[in-house]
Amino acid sequence: MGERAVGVAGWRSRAAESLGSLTLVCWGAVFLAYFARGDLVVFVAPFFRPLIAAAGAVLAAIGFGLCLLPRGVPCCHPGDDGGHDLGDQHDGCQHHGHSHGEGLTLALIVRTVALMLPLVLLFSVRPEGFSATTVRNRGIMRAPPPTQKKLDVEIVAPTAARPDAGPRKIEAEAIFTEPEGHRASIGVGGADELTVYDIMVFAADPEMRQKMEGARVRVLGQMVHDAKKPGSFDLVRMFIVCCAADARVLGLRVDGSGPAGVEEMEWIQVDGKLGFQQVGPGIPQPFIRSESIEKADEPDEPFLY
Amino acid sequence: MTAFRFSLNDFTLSFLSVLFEGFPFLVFGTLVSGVIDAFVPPAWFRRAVPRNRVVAVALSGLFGLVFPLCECGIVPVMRRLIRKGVPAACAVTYMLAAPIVNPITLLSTLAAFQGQGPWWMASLRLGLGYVVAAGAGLLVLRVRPEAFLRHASADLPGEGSSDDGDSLPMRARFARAVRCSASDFLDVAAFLVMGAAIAAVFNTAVSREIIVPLASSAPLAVGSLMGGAVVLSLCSTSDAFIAATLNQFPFASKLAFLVFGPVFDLKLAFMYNAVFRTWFVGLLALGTGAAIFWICVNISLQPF
Repeated sequence: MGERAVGVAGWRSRAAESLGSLTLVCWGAVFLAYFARGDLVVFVAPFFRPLIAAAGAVLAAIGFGLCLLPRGVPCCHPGDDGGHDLGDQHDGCQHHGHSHGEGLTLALIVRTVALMLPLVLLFSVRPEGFSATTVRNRGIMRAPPPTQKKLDVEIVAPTAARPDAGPRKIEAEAIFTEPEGHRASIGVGGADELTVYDIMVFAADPEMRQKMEGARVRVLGQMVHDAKKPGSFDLVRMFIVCCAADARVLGLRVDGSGPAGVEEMEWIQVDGKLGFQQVGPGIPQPFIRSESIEKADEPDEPFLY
Repeated sequence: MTAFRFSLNDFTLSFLSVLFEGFPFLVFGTLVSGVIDAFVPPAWFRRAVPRNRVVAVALSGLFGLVFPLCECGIVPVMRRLIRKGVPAACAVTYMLAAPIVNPITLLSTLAAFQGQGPWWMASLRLGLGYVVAAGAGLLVLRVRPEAFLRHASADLPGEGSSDDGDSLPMRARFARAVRCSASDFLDVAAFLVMGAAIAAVFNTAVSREIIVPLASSAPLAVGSLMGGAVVLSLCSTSDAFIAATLNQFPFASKLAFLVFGPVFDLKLAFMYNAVFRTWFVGLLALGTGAAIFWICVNISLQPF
């Protein structure tokens, strides 16, 4: 009878520890796979991605380590949360002189479900970006904050002055902070690819607004309708600092109803002339008088940083 | 205006992004916890902590300056410190202060508030964070640890803080560190998941427009941004970038947002429950919340 009880306890202990190992290895594998496949772009800023890969490697190593570690090694501590966290009976563990928990308990199963449920959600929903619902809930920021200071931007004309220049980006902090010492070059002689973010930065500076008024620009973004303004729509980009949860929606008003067949949050490219108009107190809102609007591919990095 | 619109896709994205962002810090925190357990003898902590309990609490609030951790990683480390014999009041002070009083939070606050009095905001944030944490620690000094620690027999120093591991060979110590890290991660991560899920609902389904009228008066603005900090559950290293854009709200309410969020939010409420008894978690929220609210409302009423 006693041997049978020990056998059952041992089985429950091993099952509990296996659940812990499995959970750790699953999360580690997901972190590593998402990093390797580049799927983290919709979740976190570039800075965090190597950290996630490192965390994935550590989680997987700990998960495997739990399986491979010799049993009988003195346990970490007595009775975490209801006896023992991993439900491990620790065969041979005697240094505390007390028993260790109940093995596979209801609490342990609930915890495992809580930790595995996000992975089920991840693979069943497979989110690829926010919908217009969240854009509307968070509100669209159509003008920079009033505290934005003057930006040191050099205007270069024509665009051909930098024919080999690829898409470039103003430092992320510039829009919400003082862009001290920052210099950027843009062309005003022809269409120049700008982000919604760039235009927000320009809108904050009276001198830049004057220089950019009427400039022909090309901007990539996602289309969002505004029921209050039927003759126009918003071209939006999500700006994040750390992860998608802190995303703010930057929007640029575009004249026109948008091309036929384009649904909300689809990626489009707008060519047109830039303008600024005062809407209420604060800094004037930038807008585009569109000349052409085309469907576009989603960029490699859907968020702005 | 619809106050509540839910999208499963958006909920999943926001929910998982918080986990993807938070888990690396939690892994780091639990690794530190495991290493402390296996390699740092309790006697070291007993020698390191000043005998004068008030001085010990006061110094604990500054420990984040040399050993910074965000709020996701701090809970397992705090629990381990208690098990190793560090006075619970010191560990609680460190837990509350370190996510705010640390160089990373200082730099991110300075960067985010450029043009809005960055040094004022950063110094007030760190100062108020320290005062609230140390104040809470001094009050905790008056309570017996077994009264507020969950599973007191496990978390109290003594049973788990013996020096029995000191004589172990290196391989056994390593195994012990791995087991501790795994156990701490699995414990706390489950609570982070629950908090992140609730925060994601607020993050994606609740319209921000409903909070704008709340900026009309000082108490309302301070209280509403403190509530916002609780439901948004942002990381203390990045929350300043959100606060800086809340232009409708006065300076003091942003300060309240930045101090209360790292001390108590939805994910932390669940994580604290892994360590503390529920009444203590509630009291911690109410006590620190009331102190921060009172101080920030008074700051907002000052004529400057």
